[in-house]
Amino acid sequence: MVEFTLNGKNVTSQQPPHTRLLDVLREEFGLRATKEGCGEGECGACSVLVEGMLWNSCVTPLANVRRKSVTTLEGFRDTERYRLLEQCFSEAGAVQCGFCTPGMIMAAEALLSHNPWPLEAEIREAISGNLCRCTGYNMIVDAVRRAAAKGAGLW
Amino acid sequence: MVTACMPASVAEALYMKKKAGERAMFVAGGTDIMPARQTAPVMIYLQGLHDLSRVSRSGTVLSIGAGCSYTQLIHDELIPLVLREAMQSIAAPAIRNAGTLAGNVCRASPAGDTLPVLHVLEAVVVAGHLADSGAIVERRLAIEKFILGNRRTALRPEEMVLAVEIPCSSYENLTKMQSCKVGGRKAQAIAKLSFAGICRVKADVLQDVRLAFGAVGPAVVRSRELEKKIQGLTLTELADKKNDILNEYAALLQPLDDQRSTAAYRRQVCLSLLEDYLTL
Ligand SMILES: Cc1cc2nc3c(=O)[nH]c(=O)nc-3n(C[C@H](O)[C@H](O)[C@H](O)COP(=O)(O)OP(=O)(O)OC[C@H]3O[C@@H](n4cnc5c(N)ncnc54)[C@H](O)[C@@H]3O)c2cc1C
Ligand code: FES
Ligand code: FES
Repeated sequence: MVEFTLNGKNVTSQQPPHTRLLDVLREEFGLRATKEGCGEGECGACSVLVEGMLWNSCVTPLANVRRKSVTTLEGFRDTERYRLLEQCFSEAGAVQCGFCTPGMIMAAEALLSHNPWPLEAEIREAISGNLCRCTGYNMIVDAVRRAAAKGAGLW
Repeated sequence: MVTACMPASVAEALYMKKKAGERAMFVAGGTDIMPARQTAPVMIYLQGLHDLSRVSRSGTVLSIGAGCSYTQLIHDELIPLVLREAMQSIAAPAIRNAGTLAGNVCRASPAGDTLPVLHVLEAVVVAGHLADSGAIVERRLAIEKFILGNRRTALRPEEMVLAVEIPCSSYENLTKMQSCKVGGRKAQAIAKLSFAGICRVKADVLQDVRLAFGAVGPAVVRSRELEKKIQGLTLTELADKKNDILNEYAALLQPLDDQRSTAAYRRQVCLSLLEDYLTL
C-alpha cells in the first residue's frame, strides 16, 4: 500500500511498492493518457509530473512517489495552460499519430513552469528524452515556442 | 515474495540492511534497477530520506548526500562545474530528475558518466553501517578503491553509501578542467568513451594534473604514475614531450569492441581528446 496525491486527490494504491508507477496509473486508476513505449526510460511516452518535475513513470517504482504529488495529462487537461498547449500543438502540426503527444505536453508543461521564456535550445533540451517517430520534432519545438509566446502570464 | 521497506531514517535503513544483508537491495532513483527489472527479497527505498538529500561544505570537504538527484546537483553552485557538466550530459531531464550520483557510483558501470570526473576530483565514497550499539559507523574509500570493476564495488553486505565527498583542494584554482562524453547522439546515449582532465599551471609550470578515461575498460583508467611524469614540466617541455606522453597513454588504454563502438575508434578519440587537452 502506498499513499500519494494523484491529480490533486489523495489516493492509496493497493499494488506492491515495486510496481511501476506506469502500471498503477493505467491499470489501477484507469488513466490511459500515460503511454508505454519502450518501458526502459528511453522514449518519454510515459512522462508524468512528480512534484512538478518530469519523471518517466515506467522506471519509477510506486514507492518513490509515496507522499508526493503526481500529475498525469488527465489532471492537467482542465487548465488554461493545457488548452493553450493543445491549441498550439494543433496549429503547429505537432501531432501526427499522437502516441508521443501526452508525454510531449507534460515535458512542455515541466519546461514552461520553470522557464516561461525558453530559448529554442532549451526547448530541445527539455524534450530530449521524448521520442517522436512522426513529426521530425521541428513542429513540436514550434508548438512549444508558440505557447510560450502566447502564454504570457500563464506560466 | 518481495518485502518492501520504506524507512523513515538512515539508521532504520541501515538496520534493515544489517538484518537482511545480501538479500536486500537499495533503491534510490530506480533508473538503473527498474529497466533491468532487478528485484531482491528485500527492497529498501531511500526516496523519503531527506537526510541523504543534502549538499554541504564544511571546511575543505564538499559532501554530496547519496539521495541527491542529478537535477538538484546540476543547479547547485557548490558543485564543481566540471562535475555539473558531466551530469548534464547524462540521459535526459526526466532521468536526471530521478537518478542519483550515488546510484551511478554504486552501479559501477564502465560507462558511468560521472566516474571519470569523480576520479580526477579525488572523490571519496562514504559507506556506513549500523554498529550493535546503534551508532552509524562510517568508512571512507577513495573512488578507485570503491569501484572494483564492472558492477563490482567494495561495499559490504551491511553497508550503504551515505555520501560522496570531494576535497575542495581538488577543484579550486584550476587552470583548465574538462569533461567530455562521446556518444551516438546528445541525449539518451550511453558513452562510447569519456574523458576528464584537471590541471593547475603556475608560472608556466604544470603543478598538478589529473587525467581519466571512461568506457575503455572495466573501470576508469587513471595513471598516477604517468601524471607524476607530467607534473613539474614547463609548458614548453610539455609541448616537446606531448608525443611521448600520448604514446604512453596509448599503451595504457585497452578498449574493447562492442555494440557501441570499436576498440580502434575508442583509442583514437581518447588520444585526440588528450592531445587537445594537453595543448595549453
Ligand atoms: C534511459 C536511460 C538513460 C541513461 N543514461 C545514462 C547516461 O547517459 N550515463 C550514465 O552514466 N548513466 C545513464 N543511465 C543510468 C542511470 O540513470 C544512472 O546510473 C543513475 O545514476 C542511477 O541512479 P539511481 O538513483 O536511479 O539508481 P538506482 O537504480 O536506484 O540504483 C542503482 C544501483 O545502486 C544501488 N544504490 C543506489 N543508491 C545506493 C546507496 N545509497 N547505497 C548503496 N547502494 C545504492 C542500487 O542498489 C542499485 O544497485 C541511464 C538510465 C536510463 C534508464
Ligand atoms: S515507456 Fe517510459 S520512457 Fe519509454
Ligand atoms: S506524433 Fe507520432 S510519435 Fe510523435
